[in-house]
Amino acid sequence: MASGADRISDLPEGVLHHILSLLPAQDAVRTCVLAQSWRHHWRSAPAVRFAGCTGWAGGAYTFGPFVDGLLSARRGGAPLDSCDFDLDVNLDLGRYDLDLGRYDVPKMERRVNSWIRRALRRQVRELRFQVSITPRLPFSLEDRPLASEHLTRLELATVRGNSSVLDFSSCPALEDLTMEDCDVGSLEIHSPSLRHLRIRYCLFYCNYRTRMSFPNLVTFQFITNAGRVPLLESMPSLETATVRYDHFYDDRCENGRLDDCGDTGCDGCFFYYGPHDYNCVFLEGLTEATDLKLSAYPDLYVFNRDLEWCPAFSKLKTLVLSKWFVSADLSAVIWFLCHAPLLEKLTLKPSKVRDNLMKNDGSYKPLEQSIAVSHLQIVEIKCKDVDEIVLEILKVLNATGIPQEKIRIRYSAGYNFVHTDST
Amino acid sequence: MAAADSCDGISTSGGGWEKTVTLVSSDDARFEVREAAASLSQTVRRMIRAGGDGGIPLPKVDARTLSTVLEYCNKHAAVPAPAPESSSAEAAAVDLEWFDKELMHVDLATLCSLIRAADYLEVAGLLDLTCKTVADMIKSKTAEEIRQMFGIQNDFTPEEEEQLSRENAGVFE
Repeated sequence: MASGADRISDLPEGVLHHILSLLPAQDAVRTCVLAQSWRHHWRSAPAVRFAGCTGWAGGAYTFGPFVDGLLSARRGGAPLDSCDFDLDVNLDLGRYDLDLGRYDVPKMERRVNSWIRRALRRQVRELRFQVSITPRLPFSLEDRPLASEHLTRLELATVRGNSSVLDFSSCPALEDLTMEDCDVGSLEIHSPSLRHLRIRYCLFYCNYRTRMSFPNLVTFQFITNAGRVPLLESMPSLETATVRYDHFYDDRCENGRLDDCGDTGCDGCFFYYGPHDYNCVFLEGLTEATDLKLSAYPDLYVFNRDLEWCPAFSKLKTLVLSKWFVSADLSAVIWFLCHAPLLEKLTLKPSKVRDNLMKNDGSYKPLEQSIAVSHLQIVEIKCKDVDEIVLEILKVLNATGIPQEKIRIRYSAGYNFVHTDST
Repeated sequence: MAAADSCDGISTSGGGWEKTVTLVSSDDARFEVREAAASLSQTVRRMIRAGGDGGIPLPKVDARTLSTVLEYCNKHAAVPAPAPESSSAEAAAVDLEWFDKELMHVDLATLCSLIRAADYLEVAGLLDLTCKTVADMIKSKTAEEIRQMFGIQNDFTPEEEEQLSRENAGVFE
């Protein structure tokens, strides 16, 4: 392959730094021995990617000192655009990763946590931090707030938070936060500056609600998290929200009710209010959205309960409801038709539902008021076949005065326009 | 020429009327390109704004390299699909990925010329693609393998090399 002439060494310095910033840190550092001219390039690369420690050349003994050394050896305090930690720590098999004794988790945590602070001191703008421990243990973030004027984007994965580290008041430039597969470990998550939030596969407390306060949030994704549904504070700038609950939540009644069953043996109802007192838990925080997707199993009762207290969704244009709306005689569908005056498109994805959840003790009154849906262009029902619930939906839509030509049922095969006389 | 700026004409590619610009390589080859494609280069975009006659001179890029850069720009600034349905958007992304992969099947000299051109013309996507290609060649290789691949002359004394390896123990095994 060698062509004789050195074509790469005299590329512009900025380009060489760009190339090095695309490499795992050990590969980037290794280029220092290529030739004199390469000796210091790695110290200026705008991005550093630490991946390891498994597969680390020379064994994991050297990884810790390497990270320490690399972060302090950056040329002239060159700022870091981005820093990526993707660590897997093996405490098993008698190995001594990160220069640690077996199972000495606190020591390992102290050391790894110090790397985050170091990266922040290097004025890192984008930080990604993931630690997987074998055997599976949560990695606890240090119980101290992160402080940085420069951090704009933070991604945390497979770590355990706490109330200090999840208070981002000292990161005034932070706009983008992703938490994935984390143990939240806090009753509050707060950022005054955050605009985009994505929380996926995270674990919330099962008997206490976490209060989430993001007054400047614009986009919100909340996907397949476990534990209690958090308490959302108001988000006046919100535009789009996607919420999905997949079975792993603690807000369900063991007696199959949608309202308080009063049974002290039912943890779902007993711990509904805690630690705060509130009316609306979640939906009130989403009322400024223009584009909203809400998916949950029918036995998640928070949304249904919230609708009793929730103010109108005065900007909402597109709404997708999946599964949960079928309980309580479709009162959620009626509610949104009454309380979303600008709604243009409503999509309904029904599910089969347990019978007892279809019924209720009369706390939900069928809404007799006229429906303000002058902007509504289409109601789309997505289903596998026309079953009892679909017929029920059609009946409700019919009763609310939505013209037939605005309703369509969509199977996986395609579109079929509805004949409401089939009811 | 009537137009005050460097927009040389109008073509009918893609069924609609589109503005084009002429780019002139270091060896005086002229390329007529859709303005939307040429504007993927921040350098060209600035020159279009500045205006001028007789085409935009690009004295640092030869015809052969420029034609590859423009191939990239034309593909990535494709005429937008009339209705961006999710399935076709996905197919387009896969198609682009294949196109990029194919484009990187070049020898090292060409790759380095492309990097220089992408850097000078400020085509961010192409710069990323070419740098990623070089990074993938470096990844997991020993120093000697990398030197051989790129023709880098080792100008360290054995003592210096020994010293450096010791400083960065663990990285070099």
